[in-house]
This record gives sequence, structure tokens and C-alpha cells, in this order.
Amino acid sequence: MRKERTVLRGRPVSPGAGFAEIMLFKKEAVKIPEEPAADIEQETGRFLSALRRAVVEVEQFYADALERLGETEAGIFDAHLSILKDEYSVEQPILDMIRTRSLNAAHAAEKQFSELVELFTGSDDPIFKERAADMADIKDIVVRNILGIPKQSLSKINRDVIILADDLAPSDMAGMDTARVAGIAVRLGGPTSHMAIISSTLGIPAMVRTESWDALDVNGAPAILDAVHGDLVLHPTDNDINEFRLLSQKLKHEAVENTAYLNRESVTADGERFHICANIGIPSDVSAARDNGAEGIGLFRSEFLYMNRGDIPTEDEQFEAYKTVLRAMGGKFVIIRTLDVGGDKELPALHLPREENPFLGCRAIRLCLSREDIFMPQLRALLRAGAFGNLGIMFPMISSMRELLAAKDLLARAADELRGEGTAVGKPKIGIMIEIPSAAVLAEHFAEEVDFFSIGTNDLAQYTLAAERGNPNVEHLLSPYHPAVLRLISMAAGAASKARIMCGMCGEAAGDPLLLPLFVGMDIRELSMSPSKILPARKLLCSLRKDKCVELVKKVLTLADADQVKALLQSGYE
Amino acid sequence: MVSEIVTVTNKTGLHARPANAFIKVALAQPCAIKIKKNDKLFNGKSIVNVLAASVKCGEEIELIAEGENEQRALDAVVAAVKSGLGESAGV
Repeated sequence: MRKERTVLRGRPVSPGAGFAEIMLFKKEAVKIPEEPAADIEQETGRFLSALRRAVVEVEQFYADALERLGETEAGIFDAHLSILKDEYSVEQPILDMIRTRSLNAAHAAEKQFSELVELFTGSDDPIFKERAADMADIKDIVVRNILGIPKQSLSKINRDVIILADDLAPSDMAGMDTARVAGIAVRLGGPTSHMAIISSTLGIPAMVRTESWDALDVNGAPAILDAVHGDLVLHPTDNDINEFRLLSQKLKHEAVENTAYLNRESVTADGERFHICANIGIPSDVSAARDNGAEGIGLFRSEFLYMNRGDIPTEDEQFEAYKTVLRAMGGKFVIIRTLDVGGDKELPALHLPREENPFLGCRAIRLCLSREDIFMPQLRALLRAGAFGNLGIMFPMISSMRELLAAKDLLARAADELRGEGTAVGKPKIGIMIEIPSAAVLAEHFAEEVDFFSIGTNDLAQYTLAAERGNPNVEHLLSPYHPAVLRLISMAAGAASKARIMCGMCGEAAGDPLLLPLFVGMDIRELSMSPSKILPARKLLCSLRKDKCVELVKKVLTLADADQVKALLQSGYE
Repeated sequence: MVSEIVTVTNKTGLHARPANAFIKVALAQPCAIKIKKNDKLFNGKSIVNVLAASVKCGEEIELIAEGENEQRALDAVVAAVKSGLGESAGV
């Protein structure tokens, strides 16, 4: 066994650097007893109660993960629960094996889950292949519970470590003492594995596909994990340690630079004030928005309240959700988009007919105007919530003036109803999405009827370029860099400036660092993006001069195609 | 028995979370729900079966309902798949 400097290469999945001693995390191989079940009834009972304990254990992981990581990352444990509760693949076949083949409970569970692991290992799709690790994880939990073996845990680590393992299962990470973990390197895994996602959420440097350490004496060895370049240096030299210090200083500097922008206003170098806001889907996303210094919510997609359920959320339910967001954001501007479904985004509860061309069909405002039974409760809920904060109500998919006026009429009617009932009604601002070319072309007229615009770049590009979103065959055509899309954006923004109303943007392009200078130059004063993009965008915006950006816009709008635009923006344009 | 062919459009296909959203809708139906892909049948109420079907974005599958209230059940699962199974669709 060598103890000299060795570098193991791997693939970084969560950037960062750590220096600590290696802790080898090796799961003890559990010995599965093979003697037949003595008493079938007793054995099935033993299995069923172990299965129940396993469910409770995973429910606990789920609750912990919800608190530590949030809903999206905790979802994996919800999926694990569904697997444990999948009677067709777990309970029934295992009970069958115990009953018909007299296997003991642990042996039967081991056999069944090994088949499930096999099933996924055989897949040619890497995403599905990674589910094999989930099955193996669940197998361990069930078998441990049958045999009464306590869980091997990373929850009590008494020194700073870099964890080296074949793989870390969600259940291993669930109780991990993250304060002690300077880094993680695993032999298996991939960029979309649970470990990768959790590490980057928690900010722990990590890499996967690490080269084999079998020939080395690694446990307890000092090591540097450079999860920027993908190196694990065992027994580092003084030179390595110096390089590590420089790298961590650089990383810390960048992080501090970003956090320095947390409580700053988004003001350009020549003093022009902008707002960088967050796009959110569910009320609890507000915490991510605030943690990243959002200066408002530029888009709250109300349709998420309607999804994954068989009925329509009631007015009161919606009111509570909207109020929660408005209150949490204090007096900051919160734009809530009215229901944007139909067409490609269907809701089971609505039982809508199928359409030939859903993107051109009865969706969003078109659907809402034809279904007052759905639209009125939402408008009433919004008006009521408006009394609790600074609300903007935004209508999606407006293509003609008639639609906007009809929507405004319904809103006025809802307000009258509420006042008649003696209910407090806020004074929300009213706006529209600019996501259909006709609305951009006629923006000057729309600007007279609303308080704000918000440009939806994804749909605007799709409709301008006649290239369907999500269709891989036309993906190359669908570009926010296309000069036709940029001209339409510029028209809408220009009309808003002229009418002195606010123009915002809530499409994905808003967070694109290459396009940001253009939007500043076009006077798009509110840019809304995923929370994680806010700080880098603010840092960039604060370094820009608006007058220079205006020049840039002029230059870009003379170009003929998307590649030229992108090339110019990448060139540094001096 | 009723059936309908749908294209799975959410970006990761019937992967862990969307698969979970799918079986939750399927389990709420009173009749049997099956997924047919490349002539192979998978039990739509079993998450392991649904995952094993390994359905990717852009792939066509046949959804089959058989038994009590089968048309309503079929409509519900078809709509769930088309709604993207809780995966965000962007702006």
C-alpha cells in the first residue's frame, strides 16, 4: 500500500474545494440467512411489520429533506415511498415467495428487490439506470428492518472529512452531518444522481465517477478534493496545499462577491434603477426568492395550484395561497399570472377536449374567458388577496384588444361583487404577457389599457419563429437571439416607455448574461428569473452602463440572424 | 376496454417524480390502468412497472383502461400525462 501523492480523476457535479481526511464509507455487507421459514404465518407477519417500519423510516427521511432541502429535492423520498407501497412489485411477490416457496422474509425480500435492481440496470437510458441505485437503497432499508440491523449512519462524524464511497444513497445522505463534510467523491453515480443534486443544493463540493482507489490505503489519508477541475489529491504536497488555498480563496471571493449583491439595489454603473425579481411556482418558493435577494416576484405561475389534483382549487384556497406570497414579500411588487392552461398544459380536473394544434388552441386567457366558472373564483381570490400587498394581475396569451377588454370587464365585475358583499378589495395593477407577436406589434395600443407588460420570451420566440417548444426537430430554430424576436421585444419595450408604463420580462432569456445588456438597453426595468440566477445577474447589471447598452441594442437590431447576434454578444462588442 | 395513444412531453419522461405523479392518478381510478409500449404491457398502478417501461420525452405510449368507469379513468390518466405530470413547463 502506497502513501505517496496520488491523484484520482473524476467528474465534478457540485463545484467547490475541500481539504480534510478521507473517510471511507463502506456499507457492511448484510448476510442474508437462507434457512427456510419455520412458520409461514409468523414469517409473513414479520415481513409486513418490517415493511411498515421501513415506510415510517422513509417518511422520516422525507420530512427531514423537506425541511433541509425543500420540496423538489425531497421528492425522491416521496417516490421511494411509492415504491415501498407498490403492492404489485413489493408486497405481493414477496408474500408469494414466503408462502409458496417457504423462503424466510429477508431472503424473499432480497430476491425480489435484486430482480428490481436488475430490471433497471438493464435499461439503456442513463436516467433510468440510475433508478437501480434507488431500488438497491430501498432493498437495504427493507432487509435491515426485517433483520433488525440498525442503519449505518453519517449523522455522527466527529471530525471534518471527505467522504469516499462507491455511492451515497438518498437514505445515507438523509441524516448526514453536513457541517462535517468537506467534500464527497464517489466511484459510481452521475450528474443527475441524487447525491449530485443534494450536494449542489447544500453547497458541498462533490464529484462522481472517481477512479478506483482499491490499490491504495485511503481511509484517514489527508486529501484535497478539487471539484472544479475534478481531482482528488491524496497525500497532497505543500504545493498542492498552496494551490488549494488559492482556489478556495477565489471561490470564496466569488461567493462573497455574489452575496455582496444580496441586499443591493439593481442599479447600473450610470445610476439607472432596475428590479431583478424571481419566477416562482408554489407559495413556498418565496423563501428561495428572498434568500437570493429578489426585488419582487415577476411571475407567480398560478397554474401550479391547480395541478396534481382532481378538482379546481376553491376561491378561499387560492386567496390563502396568493395572500401568503404577498405577505411574505412585504410591500414588494408581486405579479400573479392568471391560469395559463389548456392546449399543451392540460389539467385532469377540467376534462378539456383534445386539440389538433394545442399551442394554437384554446389555452390560457382564451380558455378562461370561455369558462367563467373557473375564471371568476380566481379573479375574486386575487382581488381579495390584493388587499394584503402590492399585487399585479397579469393575463397570459393576449392576442387581441377584445380579449384584454373582456378580461378587464370580468375583473371589474368581480370587484363590484366583492364590494357588494362588503369584502375588502385591493387595488391591483393590471398587466398582460407579451408572448404573441400580435401583442408586441400592437403594443402601443395595449399600453393604453394596462399598467405593465411582461414579455414571455419562450412563447414569443415559439410563435414568431413557428417552431414548437419541446420538439427536438425544430429546437435549432427556436432561439431568443433571433433578431426578429429581439425586434418584437424592443417594440413592446419601446411602446411601454413611451406610454410610461412598466415593462418587465419573465421568460428564461431574462436570466441569460449575454442578453441582459440588450434588455437593459431596451429599458426593460423588471427582469424576472429563477432565484438562483438573481445574484449573478445583479452583479452583471451593476457593472453595465445603460447608455452603452442602448448603443449595443442599435447594433444588434441591424443584424440578420441569431448566430450573428450571439457572436456579437460573445465578442465583448467593443 | 378503452385506450388512447399519447405522447409524453415532459422533459424527463416517466422518470421518478413524474412517474410518481402518474401512479397517484392511476391509483385513484376504480379500474385497471395499463401502459403499452412497443407491444409490452405495464401495470399503470405500479410505480416499478411504470418506471420499468422507461418512457422518454417524445415517446408515444398507449394508455389502456379496463373495468368500472373506464372512459372517465382513461380521460383522467391521459390528461395527467398531457399536463406534464407536475414538471414545470417554463413560461
